[in-house]
Amino acid sequence: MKEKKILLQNSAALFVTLFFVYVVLFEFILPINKVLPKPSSVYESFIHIWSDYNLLFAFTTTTSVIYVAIALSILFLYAGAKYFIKLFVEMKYSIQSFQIFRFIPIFFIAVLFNFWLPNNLLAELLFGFLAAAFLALKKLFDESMKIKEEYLLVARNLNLTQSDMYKNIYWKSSLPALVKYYEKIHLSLWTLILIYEFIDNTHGFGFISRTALDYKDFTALYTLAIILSLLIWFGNSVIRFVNNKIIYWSAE
Amino acid sequence: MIEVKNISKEYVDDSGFKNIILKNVSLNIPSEKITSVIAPCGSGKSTLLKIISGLENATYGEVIKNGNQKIVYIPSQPSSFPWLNVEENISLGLHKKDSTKIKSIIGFVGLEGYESFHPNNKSYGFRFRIALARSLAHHPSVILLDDPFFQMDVQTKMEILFLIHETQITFKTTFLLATTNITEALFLSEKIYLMKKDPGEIIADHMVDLPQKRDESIYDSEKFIQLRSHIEKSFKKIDSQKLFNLSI
Repeated sequence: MKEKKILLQNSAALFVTLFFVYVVLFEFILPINKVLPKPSSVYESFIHIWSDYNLLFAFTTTTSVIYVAIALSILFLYAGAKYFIKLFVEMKYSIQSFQIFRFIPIFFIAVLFNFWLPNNLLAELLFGFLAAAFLALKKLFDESMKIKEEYLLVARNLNLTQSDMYKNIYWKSSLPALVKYYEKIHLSLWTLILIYEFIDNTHGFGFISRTALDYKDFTALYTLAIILSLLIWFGNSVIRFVNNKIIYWSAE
Repeated sequence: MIEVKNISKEYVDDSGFKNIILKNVSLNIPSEKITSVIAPCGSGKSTLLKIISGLENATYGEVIKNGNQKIVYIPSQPSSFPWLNVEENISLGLHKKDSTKIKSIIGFVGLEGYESFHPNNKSYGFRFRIALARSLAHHPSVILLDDPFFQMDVQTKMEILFLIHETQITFKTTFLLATTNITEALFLSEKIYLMKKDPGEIIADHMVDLPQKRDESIYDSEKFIQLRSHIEKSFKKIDSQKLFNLSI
């Protein structure tokens, strides 16, 4: 607890110092440059983005897509966990052979989705869901392969059924790592959806980032970066909070 | 009574080399008694116990049991499931949960008051108590203990030693203990087998002629000291390189 407090104090001190340096340097010493915008213009840009770039609509679409995709992937995984684990355990070598596809950039899949279903919010949601579900399934596969031998020995010795083993041993043993991994999935999904919207160029934060880039709106790009950072930080904190409430054990 | 007849375990590794883990291991495990196998680390003790419990197959040989005996294996890292509380851990795998019986077992192993605790990050001693209670809840004929004192501090080791002894007397359960420690095996057992490594092979067996009810005073008895010395000598007869990690 004390360490946490010190860390928080240090982080706050670092933030205040950097903010002070930024204000002094870019407001008064170097107001015109191509590195960072003037602090006062960033402040004004918030209002400007809200009205000119329709920030509220972008916020609604992007966050809905990301968090609905995450929620759907959790439901999908929870409902099918027993069957996925059965598949992983029984066909682990066949599944491992799919690794050859890991070099396909997801960017390309975003391009393909845009090509097949342009300007379609549902296609974006499907893309987000598939990305989140794929990442979560991959993690579940890795964790199922790493299960402690003692757990399996005890479970087999107690004559648990295969179904019980998948549901009560493999799944529960994988949960702490899987749930923790959702923080990474969250970050990855933000990146992927922003790329998707950047390509799609019709809605969302990706779209307004592209518009700001097209108009060479330097300050708006920085302001957007700040807004996105805050949103990702907030989302991450909520996921971490929920995880800590749900998962009270570690795999030991 | 369980009879282990000429068990051998071999496997061929990735480079095509044949490894012999166990060679012609034969044991008699008398009912309602504690039998021990003392062997150095890496001699195939765990493999032997897994074969006896049916969790692994032997390459050659057989395990002869009396009818449909329930054999429970407790691994050296006593596995309690951290997502289940103590009571759920103990009743795991039971088709009919008898709450009164579970409660009495919990009391017997010294976990009263901890029923709703989760074993996450708890000591080896705590987790061993859960594993033992879970085994007892399944009415086993035989409990196989795989190096149970591994990584336990001295005090916990003593507590667990007495708990196993009490369990045997109270429940009349048959135990087979695999250990590296001569003193612990002598304290608990009525029969001891000595096993060497590379490959795992029984080299001698000894009857432990000590009173059935044992306490700390037994360590100082002349008979105990003589038996220990005799077992040490038996081990010293074989190549000392095959005995490293054997503790006294």
